[in-house]
Amino acid sequence: MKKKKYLISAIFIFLAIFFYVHQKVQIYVEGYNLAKNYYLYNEYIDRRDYLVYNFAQRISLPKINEWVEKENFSSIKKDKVLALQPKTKDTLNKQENMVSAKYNVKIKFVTPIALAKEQE
Amino acid sequence: MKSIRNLRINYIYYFFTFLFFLLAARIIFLQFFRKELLKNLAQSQYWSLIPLEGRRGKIFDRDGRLLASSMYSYSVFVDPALIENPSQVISCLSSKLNILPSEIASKISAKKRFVWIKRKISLKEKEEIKALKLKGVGFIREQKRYYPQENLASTVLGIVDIDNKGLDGIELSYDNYLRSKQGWFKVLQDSRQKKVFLSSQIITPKDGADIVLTIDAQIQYFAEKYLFETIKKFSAKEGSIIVMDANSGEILALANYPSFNPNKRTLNANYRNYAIVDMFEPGSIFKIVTLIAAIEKNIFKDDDKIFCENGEFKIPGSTLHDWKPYGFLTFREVFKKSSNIGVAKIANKLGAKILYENIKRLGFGHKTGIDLKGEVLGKVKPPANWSKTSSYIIPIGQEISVTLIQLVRAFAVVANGGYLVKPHLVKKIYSPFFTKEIQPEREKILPTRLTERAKDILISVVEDGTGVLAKIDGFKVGGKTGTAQQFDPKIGQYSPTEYRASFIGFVSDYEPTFVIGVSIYAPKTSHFGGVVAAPLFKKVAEKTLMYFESKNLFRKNNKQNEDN
Repeated sequence: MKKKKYLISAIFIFLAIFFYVHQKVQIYVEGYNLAKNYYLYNEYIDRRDYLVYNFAQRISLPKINEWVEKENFSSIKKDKVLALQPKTKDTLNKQENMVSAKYNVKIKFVTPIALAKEQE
Repeated sequence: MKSIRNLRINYIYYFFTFLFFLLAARIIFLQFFRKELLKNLAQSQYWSLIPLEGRRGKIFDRDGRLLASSMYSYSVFVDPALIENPSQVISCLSSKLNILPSEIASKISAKKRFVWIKRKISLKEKEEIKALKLKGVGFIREQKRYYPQENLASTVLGIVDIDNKGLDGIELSYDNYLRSKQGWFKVLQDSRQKKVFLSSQIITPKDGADIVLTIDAQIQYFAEKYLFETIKKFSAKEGSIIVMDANSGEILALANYPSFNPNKRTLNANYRNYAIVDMFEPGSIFKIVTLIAAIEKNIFKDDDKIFCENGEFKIPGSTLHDWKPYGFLTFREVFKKSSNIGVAKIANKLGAKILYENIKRLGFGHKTGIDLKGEVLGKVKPPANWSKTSSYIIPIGQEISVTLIQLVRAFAVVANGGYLVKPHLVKKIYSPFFTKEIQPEREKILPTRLTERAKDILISVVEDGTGVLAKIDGFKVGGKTGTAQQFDPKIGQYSPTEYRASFIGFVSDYEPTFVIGVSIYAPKTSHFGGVVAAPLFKKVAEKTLMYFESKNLFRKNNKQNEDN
């Protein structure tokens, strides 16, 4: 009986030490992964920076202006502004009134949800 | 026999006991008296500090367009002691980095453990070299400054050195704000120097503050483009143009030719900001001082006649000439037709003291206070040092040196109703920790009724005077032309061939009121301010007006949509 007790205690102690060491090792593994991800993150930052740099070089303001001049675009003038389907104040008010009328009807005819105690 | 053997055994025993105690004493000594030293030594082997660099602040134009930013790049170094195959390293690095093999060979043979090969190479070059897995070759990650708009506003933005410290322009003037603060991160490192991120000890880096300039990149583009075209058309040597908001002193554009590409710097590029560091004799443009002084003293009415000696007027020590012989001219016509003789006579009636007071009042002989380093004062002689000729020729812009920014500021006084403004290039500085908005500074130096009369006369210069080529349809434009001979120190007198053609003007009755100053040095095919500089003013002003109109249109339309 005594031998069995010693055996069981030994197993428990072994398991406890095992999980403790496992935890410690896991922390170090996570530490290594964090370091690896940090360097990977830096690599992606570098690639992003170079992509942005190349993109900015291609669409700099002088280049856009040169393209505009080449394509003969002209500046907007007051008499050349077009507005499509302009909404007047009256139309807008009418729409608003319709929406608010719908809600008013709903509020009148839908039963409000009351708490059980209040209902009793 | 037995006793001798026992004695020997005892001696050995005592000897080893003594050794044991020695060892114990040494251990106790190290453990108690050298504890801190050994602990630090051990820690330094397995703890390491990684520097975390903050980003240098960005620079934007007034509408938020990016003008300067930073990115990460790599610098290549070698540790000569670790190189196993020097010839392979030399040939690979030389071909990838475009450096002479002899140069690399001399660096590799240095008796050092760290030698730079090339700073701030491209990502592509770094990946190619890394793929070769050359022993002894390493990379350090550093920040590199880049300017997405290339040449645009390069003389304003300035440059940084290899360690990202400002050397010129805004990069230098605001280096304290733009510079970042380094942070640190404590990490464990194993026996193979691999990092393990276990510590929570971190000092976060601080990014530099961002700066918003008063420059409008679109107006800057117009200014640079047309300046370049004018220089080429008249085969001039150099030139500058400034566009400034007359009410606030905000510089909307400041362009110089020649300029440079800050992304591809060369040794023989021009980094000079002529508009603020070059002083010159302004010529007829300086007549604005006499105009203002005469109006203030109210000695002349617009119709009062002045005899202009038919183009030749003997003065003490010299003879004054007009570009065209005139007889009698009215006070207004003297400035409209830019008669040197007429102005000299008006100035003499005012006297040296009054003239000098007005020269100083309009800001000449002082720095304007623009937020760029290297601005010069110009040269203004006090009346005590004036010769008999000086009182005739200083009013027509000789024997005096000014900068373009000083001239623009003086004309802004007339355009804005009498305020001397402080020109500035920065609108706002901001970071997560603070925001600083630069407020315009101005001082009322002339009454509005005076400036209105001066404005009227300057408008007539453009309407049907020497500045006719600056006229813009539908707008009232005022200004003054200037054609000044330049002093040649080689021959010790004024050069017969080198002139400076200038025009400073403003668009009246338009908000925002802006002043444009143009100065072209040594034009060849023509040297008159009215022919060389005035058309440049017109082109830039027209484009600026169209640009403002389109901006206002969008602003108006957005407001209408919000109201609806």
